Amino acid sequence: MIELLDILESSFYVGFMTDLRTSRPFDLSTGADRRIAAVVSAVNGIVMATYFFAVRLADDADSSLARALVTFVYLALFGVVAEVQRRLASTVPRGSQRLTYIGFGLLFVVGMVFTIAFNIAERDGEVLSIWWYAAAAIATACPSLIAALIIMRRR
Amino acid sequence: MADVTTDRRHPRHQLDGVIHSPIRFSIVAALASVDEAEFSTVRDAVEISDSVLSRQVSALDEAGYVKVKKGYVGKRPRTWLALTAAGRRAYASHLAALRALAPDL
Repeated sequence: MIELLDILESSFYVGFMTDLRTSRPFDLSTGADRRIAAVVSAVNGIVMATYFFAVRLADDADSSLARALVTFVYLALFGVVAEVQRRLASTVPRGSQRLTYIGFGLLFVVGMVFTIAFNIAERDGEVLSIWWYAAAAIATACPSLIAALIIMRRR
Repeated sequence: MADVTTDRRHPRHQLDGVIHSPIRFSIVAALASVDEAEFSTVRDAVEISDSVLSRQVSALDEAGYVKVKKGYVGKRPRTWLALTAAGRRAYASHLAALRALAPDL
């Protein structure tokens, strides 16, 4: 009888250990939260990169009204994105804030490199084609887009 | 923070008294999986009432383990909870102590 109890007890222990091995870490954030965090990172990057070069175009056109308008749209979009995340997401997935900040920091570095390069290119008063600005905006947004991809794929 | 594996004292001394209660441990474990979480999400995940969560979060807040952020979405108040750096360290240390006590974990 005692042997039978021992066997039962040890089989319970084996079952418990299997439970431990097969248990998955508890994660509060959902796939929707990850998608929202990724979209926020990507949209913030695109908005910032576009602003970088839209302001430059406004300056080239020597229009303070265009500059004010671009700045207003930029700030409004930033506010809308933050509000959307506050309303829709129930969690901020682990590491997504840090990834967003890193993407944003690298975005500024890339943006500054393009700005310096454009300043040098336009030194003689020559104005670059708008396509150069568009290409630079796309390249500048890349760090935030990569951060968004990592947030999306991370578990 | 003392290393549990090299400390000669019994690992139980490394257990964190604030985190050790089942409900607080569940709250901290849930928050450890995110940067921030809304109050109601934690409440539903841990399956406790608003008042119980509120009381336990106050204890964790007093210990400096949880940061509470209050705000509004439209006109509705919302509370966001996040583990502080000290909270994450305490949780990691507590888990290390549990693993030292029960190596099968």
